[in-house]
Amino acid sequence: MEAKEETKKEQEEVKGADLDYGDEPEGENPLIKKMIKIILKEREIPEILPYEEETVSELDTIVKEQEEAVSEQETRTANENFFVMIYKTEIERLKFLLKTYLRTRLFKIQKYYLYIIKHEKADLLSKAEYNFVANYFLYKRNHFKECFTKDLYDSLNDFVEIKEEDAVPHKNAPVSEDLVVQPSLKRPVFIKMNCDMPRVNDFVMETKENLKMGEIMLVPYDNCKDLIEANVAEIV
Amino acid sequence: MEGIKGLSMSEGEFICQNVLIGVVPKFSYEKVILIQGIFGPFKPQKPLDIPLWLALELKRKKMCDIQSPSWMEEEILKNMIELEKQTAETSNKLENKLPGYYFFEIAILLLHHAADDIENPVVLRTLIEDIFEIRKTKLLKEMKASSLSKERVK
Repeated sequence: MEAKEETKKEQEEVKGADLDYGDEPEGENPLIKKMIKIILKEREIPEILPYEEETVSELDTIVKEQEEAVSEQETRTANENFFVMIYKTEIERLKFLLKTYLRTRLFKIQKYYLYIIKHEKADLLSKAEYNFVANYFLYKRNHFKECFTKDLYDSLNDFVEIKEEDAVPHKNAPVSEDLVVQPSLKRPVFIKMNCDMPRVNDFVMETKENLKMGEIMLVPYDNCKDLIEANVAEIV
Repeated sequence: MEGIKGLSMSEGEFICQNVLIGVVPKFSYEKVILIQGIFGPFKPQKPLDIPLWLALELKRKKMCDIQSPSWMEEEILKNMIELEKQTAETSNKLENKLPGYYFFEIAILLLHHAADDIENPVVLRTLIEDIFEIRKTKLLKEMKASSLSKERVK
């Protein structure tokens, strides 16, 4: 009982000390913090993650509504002018967040487009990203063909003539597995524990103690993938 | 574009500006309905919490004074340095915990834009830089040690 009370007290102290992960003040919108966590996750995790359609479209809708409201607002005083500028600044900040998320995903898609096609990861993408992958695949293959592969012997040429009907991401796409760049799941990521957990063998190198809530560690991604999916740990 | 691994310094600085900070307004204004939340009303000499980016905009226009966070005091930072020197590792134990994930970014922003609202900004800057250097040295040592032990296991 005493140990539990102590743990609870420690947790409260941790919460109070933490500028970023403490209680949200009354009326603060949790959507922005959620979006930032999504961006951090997409940046840190080496593989492509499922597209967060709900959060992105909700934030996009709110930004557009705010933009409309601000454009209709009439200003008379200097303070009103100033705060219209503040509203516009916030809108630009949130647009930057959305664009950062989309740019991060696009960077990964361009790097791992063959992996996405061959391993049927298209369900992780949005509709626009799916169309992008299909077109990118076609353009890249045709570009390589025009530049040099058409002059190679057939036996050395892993690139095959692509027809329109083949320009759809699927596992039987005519691409050699040797050419597929795979994300490195061994890449270390920083995670923060969301709850206490007993020590798991081979989880973290040289871990001697049980894992405590709030602990931050650097761990290979494939060791903690299940914990992140179960929300036992989160990316920081 | 910024690399796809983690956040750059400028991105960290951008994100940390969503953290709420105390200000003392020098003007009157009704509630401000931002997407992040509802803040205000603004009344002269009546402190309230607003996002750091908004506080910096108001400060730039000399419309408020920023209240430095409770951890930004000489004694507290000196204690942190002592604790850091006593422990060999950058541990996560409570007594050695940094006051927030974006501690350095917020400190640098406040010292740069609101130095006149902070007591002894020059001393605080030196202390914060010392904490940064000590933790950086410890992290590099730990990472070197863990990579050497990995080689031994091989």
